[in-house]
Amino acid sequence: MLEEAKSAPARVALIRELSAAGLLSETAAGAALERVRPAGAWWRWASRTLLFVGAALLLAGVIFFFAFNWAEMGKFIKLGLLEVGVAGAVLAGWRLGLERLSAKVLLLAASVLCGALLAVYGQTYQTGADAYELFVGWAGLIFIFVVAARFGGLWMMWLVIVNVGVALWWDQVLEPNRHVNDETLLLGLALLDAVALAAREIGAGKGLEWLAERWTRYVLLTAVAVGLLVPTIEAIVEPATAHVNNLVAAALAVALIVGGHYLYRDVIPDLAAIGLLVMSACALLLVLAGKILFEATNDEFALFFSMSVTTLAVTGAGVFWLRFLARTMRGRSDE
Amino acid sequence: MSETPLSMAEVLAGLEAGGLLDAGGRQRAEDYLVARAAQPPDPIYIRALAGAGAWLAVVFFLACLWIAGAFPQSQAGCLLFGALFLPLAIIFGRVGGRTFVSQLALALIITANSFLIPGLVGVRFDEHHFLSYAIVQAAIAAAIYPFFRDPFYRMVAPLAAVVMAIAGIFIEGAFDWLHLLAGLLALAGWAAFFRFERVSALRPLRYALTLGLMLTTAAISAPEAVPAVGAKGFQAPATAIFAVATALMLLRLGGAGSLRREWMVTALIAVVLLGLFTSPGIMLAIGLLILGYWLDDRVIAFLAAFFLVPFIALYYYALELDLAYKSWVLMGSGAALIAVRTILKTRPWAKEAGS
Repeated sequence: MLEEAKSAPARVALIRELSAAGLLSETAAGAALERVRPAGAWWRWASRTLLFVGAALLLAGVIFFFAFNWAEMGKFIKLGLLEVGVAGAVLAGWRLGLERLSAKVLLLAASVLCGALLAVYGQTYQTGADAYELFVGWAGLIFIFVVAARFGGLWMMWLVIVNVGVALWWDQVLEPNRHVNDETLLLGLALLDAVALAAREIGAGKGLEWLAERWTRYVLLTAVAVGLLVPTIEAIVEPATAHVNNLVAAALAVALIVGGHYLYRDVIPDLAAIGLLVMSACALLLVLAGKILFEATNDEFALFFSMSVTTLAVTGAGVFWLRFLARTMRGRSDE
Repeated sequence: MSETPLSMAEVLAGLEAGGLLDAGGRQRAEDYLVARAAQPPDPIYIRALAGAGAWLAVVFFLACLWIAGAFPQSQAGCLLFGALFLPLAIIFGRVGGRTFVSQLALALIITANSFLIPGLVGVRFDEHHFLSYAIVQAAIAAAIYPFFRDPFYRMVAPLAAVVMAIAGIFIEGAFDWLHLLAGLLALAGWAAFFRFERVSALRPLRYALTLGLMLTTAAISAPEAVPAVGAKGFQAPATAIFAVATALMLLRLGGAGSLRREWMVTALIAVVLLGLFTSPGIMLAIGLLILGYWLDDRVIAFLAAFFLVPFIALYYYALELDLAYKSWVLMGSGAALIAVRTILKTRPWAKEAGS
């Protein structure tokens, strides 16, 4: 424990904490801060921020330009400019070297421009294609950029496009023609995102650093949890109208919570991921408790009082469990 | 350029070698780090779960009081209920230790606070005045803050006062007061972040002030708040306040003599230009981004980045330009930032930093 605490990376926040606790004088704290974060770090931060914000503004401007000005432009100019933009961004990224952040941002820009290109193409030629075909085509076109860039942000954007494409396919094809219910859609999206999450964990485990950014795990886990929780809660609140898919979602939700606990406690320790699962479990338990109490009594006073106590008990148990796990996982890492 | 990050042990050893820390001081610092590692503070998601549970429990509890007809109908009744729950909450909060009892304490303090507001407003203020509730809530939050240590309450109670003030201003239509509120929050924020930076108990208050500033600035940018005279004119005072605060923060960051350095002059010129050509929301978000990075506070940095996007969107939406020209302005802004970055990379101090 001593060695781990001392060998922990020096952070500005930690040095400030020592200073606030009176353990470092202002002069000592200043010297420590200068060493941990030299002047150069500020420039690197400013440089990254300028790059991201500048690229975002530029891209937004391009998209709005085409969204609002297409009627006044010839079709070849519109399409040509976008194609030049895509090609230029890809070429510039390749020249810079794909291991550099600016090159990855350029590939992200190229991916966004591909979407704009498809949208303008669809508007110009009025092919009669459904909106889902645009998103599916967009995802297909930029897949090679996602693989080449090895950039977590681009991969997440690609997954969002795929999810939107699937949702639109359900809305425009499955639901009108085959009356596939929305529980099936949510279940399908949850399974899709679960596959992405599994790929992320396997890839990160094999040393693919670009997949190892933790925020991607939390985004995917949240997406899977929401996709399973909504049909499960529907089944709890209105069991009479529940479909088979609601029950499947409920079973998978329980499997996610239990299996995820094992995975993120013992295999890939991550307390924040367990926190997401615990919150999901608390939400389910509270809805279930509310349903049982609502059915059990007509006395509103008893109902609300019981819900008040139950809420404290359930969330308190969740907090207790997380703190217990935090101590256990810390102790395990010391051994 | 990649480096192996320094460890705390190396930093402390460096301080001892430089005579800025003696052996005893180094030992105490190491003991603190060990104790901290053994009992780290709860991460934000655990606190969020505890806080959400307490809030929900309070809603149900107040509902059952209402159904039972036990909800106080008079201001005296509200004061009595508040006075009953308040000491219970403080006692449970101090002796409870962990989990269930501390959550119960949180639920009780929220209940007490909810009753004290209508109780105290009637005692001293005109309940129809648009700022009465905000002032009372601010006073309650200030009075309870030293005694109730839960960080969630310490953040939410002052923030509630800000929200009440904004709501009161909108109901009354007295939009000029938003600038006064922004100025007060900026002053309070300066005190909390810089004057009392070593007081760790003020951390929840700092987050409350950050969020309060964001909400106030969003209110200043809201269409209802902007008179027909012109958005720029109405928003100018708030933009100026945030620009001055950011400039002072940069000067504090750079230290004495930094005004002679090229990077400081560049940064200050950038602040002036942003103050002249952008909105208070963008100015505030950029100032908080710098502050978040300076303090290594990921919550503030995240809030700043999160709010920067809608503030930029609002700014461009409000521009009185043809939609075609707006897209050129957007592209031009983006290209300008990238061009500035490219130019600055050629400066000696940037090359030295190894971008």
